[in-house]
Amino acid sequence: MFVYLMLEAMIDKFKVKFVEESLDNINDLEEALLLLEKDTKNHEIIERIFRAMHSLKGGGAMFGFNDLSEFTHHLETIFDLVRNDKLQVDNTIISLTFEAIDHIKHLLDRGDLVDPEEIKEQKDFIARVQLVSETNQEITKVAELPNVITDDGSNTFLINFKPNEEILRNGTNPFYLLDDLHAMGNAQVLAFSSKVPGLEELDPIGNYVEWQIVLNTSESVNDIKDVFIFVEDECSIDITKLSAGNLLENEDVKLIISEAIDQQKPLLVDQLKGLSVPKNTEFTKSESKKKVQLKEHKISSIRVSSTKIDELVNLVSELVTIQAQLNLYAEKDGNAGILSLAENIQKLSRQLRDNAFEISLIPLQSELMRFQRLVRDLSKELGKDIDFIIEGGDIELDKNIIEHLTDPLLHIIRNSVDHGVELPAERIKAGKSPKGTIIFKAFYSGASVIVKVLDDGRGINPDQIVKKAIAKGLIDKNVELSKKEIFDLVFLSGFSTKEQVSDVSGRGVGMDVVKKKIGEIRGEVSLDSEVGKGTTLTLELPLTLSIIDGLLVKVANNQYVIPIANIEKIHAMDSVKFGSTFNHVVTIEEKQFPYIDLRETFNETAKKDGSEQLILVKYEDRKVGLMVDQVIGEYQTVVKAMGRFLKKQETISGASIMGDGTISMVIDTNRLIHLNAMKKYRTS
Amino acid sequence: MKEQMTSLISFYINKEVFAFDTLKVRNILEFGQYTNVPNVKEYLLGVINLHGNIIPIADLRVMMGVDVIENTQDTAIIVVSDDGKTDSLIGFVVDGVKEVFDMDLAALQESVFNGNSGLINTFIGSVYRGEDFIHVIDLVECVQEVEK
Repeated sequence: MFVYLMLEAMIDKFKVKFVEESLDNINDLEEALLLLEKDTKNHEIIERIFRAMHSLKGGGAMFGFNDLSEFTHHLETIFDLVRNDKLQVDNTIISLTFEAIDHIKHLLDRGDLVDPEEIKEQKDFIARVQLVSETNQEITKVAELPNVITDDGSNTFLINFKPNEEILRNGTNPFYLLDDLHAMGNAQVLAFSSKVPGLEELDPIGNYVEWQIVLNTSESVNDIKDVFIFVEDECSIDITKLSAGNLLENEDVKLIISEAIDQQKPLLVDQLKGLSVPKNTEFTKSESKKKVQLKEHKISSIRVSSTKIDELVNLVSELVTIQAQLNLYAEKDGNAGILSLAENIQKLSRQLRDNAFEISLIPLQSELMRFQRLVRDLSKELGKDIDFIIEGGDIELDKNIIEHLTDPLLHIIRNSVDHGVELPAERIKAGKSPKGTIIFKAFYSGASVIVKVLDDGRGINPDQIVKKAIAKGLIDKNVELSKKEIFDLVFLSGFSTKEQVSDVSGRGVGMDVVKKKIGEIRGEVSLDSEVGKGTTLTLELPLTLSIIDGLLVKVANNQYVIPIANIEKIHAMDSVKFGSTFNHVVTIEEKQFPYIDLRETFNETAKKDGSEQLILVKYEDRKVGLMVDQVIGEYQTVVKAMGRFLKKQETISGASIMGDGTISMVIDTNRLIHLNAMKKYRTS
Repeated sequence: MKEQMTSLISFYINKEVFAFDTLKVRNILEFGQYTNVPNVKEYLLGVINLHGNIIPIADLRVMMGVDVIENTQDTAIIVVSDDGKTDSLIGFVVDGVKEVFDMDLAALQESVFNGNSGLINTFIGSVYRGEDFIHVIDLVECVQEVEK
């Protein structure tokens, strides 16, 4: 019992792994399919699709996803034909496959189907899939179903199935009948299409094809007749028993059948009768099974649970902190031995840190598939024609960042498809090409990654934003705002430019949520738009969440870290001429800059003795000064979260533990300046 | 009624005795150096470094509306987490920790407390022990107040 339970648990574990791997396969499948849509003849892509399906099928059967395996099998058949140049990829196939992928996802989620409704749906779907693979091809060999009956009670029949021309008119699908026959046992179907007339005479809903089926089954002749019970009047059926046992295993029979297919000459009962059933069926069967199981096996990467990586990164962060303490101690102690040891440890821990952080980076690509799919499906649904172009999909980001990024990006892209890009007719009227374009662009910029989503749609009118913001009481009527400031209003909570809630993107989640989500990962969002030309959304994201290069500064008794990436220049106070303190403007090298006195914002007692320093930081397209007591120096630091109770403190994005165990807080300069600026505009 | 034993940790605030559920307590520390965090509520003193985690500390005495605060050798920080997560760790500063004791939940009486000046007004109950009435603080409410 215990062993059994353990086995159960193990299988469950494998199942989870299979689902995970299958999702990867599906991802790959979707990606390849999208590529195939653009380049329908590319053999490499077709191979890739075939391989992905093949692994799904094999894995499914192994881990008890029988419905999935069966379904994928039929799908695979199509691509096997494509692979062998027997079938041309067209839109129907691609759309059908996309639909099929959704179905596979569903099957992965559910396991084997129980609901009779769903089982029927799957059957219908399979029939549709089979229709594609069969209509495009003269002869289809359908491989054996898993539950082949091979016991000696079986018989082999030759069935002549000649439907008349009218059979399709009353909705009968002859393929369903063939499916039923397949379900009874082992069947080989031969299709004869020599009666199909030329195009001029062809009735599109007439049937001109005849079939012959060699069927090995343990059912009786009457059972076979039952299959055709509803179409008796529309066709001629002729069932002859050839022999007992499975004649289909006989090599001669195989030869005769393939000749008949090649020459389009119907099989005759005499040709087959009297041939014997081979004895060694068991052997040939198991061998052919084995061949299917052989697959490529290559380990170029391993799967590690993300919690393990989080733990590793955490431990390395700890190590870096302790190492800094050791350095401090060694310097104080002055012992040459300890000093050199500390130095070596520093080198090692740096490398270790870089490595550990690299492990937690994953390429953006992994998420992009979903966006491709979204644009494709959504634009079809809305009747729009949109090209989705991805640049820089290989850029790598911390997995925690990517996790937080998906939802906001989905929202942004949805917005572009729904509100941005116009309908083709509208586009032509505006003198644009009927096909819209959405570009997704990612690139490195210093210590951050910039992600841009550009569309060439109708754009956003700034005047409308202002009007709306005034109406909603978000800004004062008399405030003059720059274009950039106007677009920033879109991110305020309670702002949404579209009046009516749309089915697609207006689900009550506005850009403020996007901003908040991106803010959670220390990123910034901005929007730019030109009426009639399009809209650009820009996300600026940190490379990793947990480590930054910072400048250590002192304000009153506290130490703070300002991310170096944001810093433009540091000025000593004597080169700085203060304008009126009231205005908070400072003159540096004949230019005026606004500045923020950190003592004032942090509610410390004011002090100005000329020893202060001014740090110019970049804020969007401007520069803003931050006044601090003293600049201590550069410092590479591990940023730690401040926990759930200090989330309200928005200007501090985290804290860092110094070499001596004390804490310094990391200032989020963008937020600090933003909050300061917002105070100016708020009417309340 | 069936006995339902629970373990509590009692502490002093302004000579009165209060208690937390021991299961929620992670650490008891000496009150010492801490780092100020600007622009936060008055009773949030700042943050401390506990084994590499940054933990906020709140002065429970201020939250309870104590007027005169005096830090002595006995002043302590009780670090708790209401949901067991590291992210939820918070330290409460008290005048001194008294003891850990077991009690039957059935012995709890309704707290008699006429909503004084403090921010904490609901208690799970009070129990008479030795010479003191011990008021058991509702940690969830306490933590919600900080989070507000």
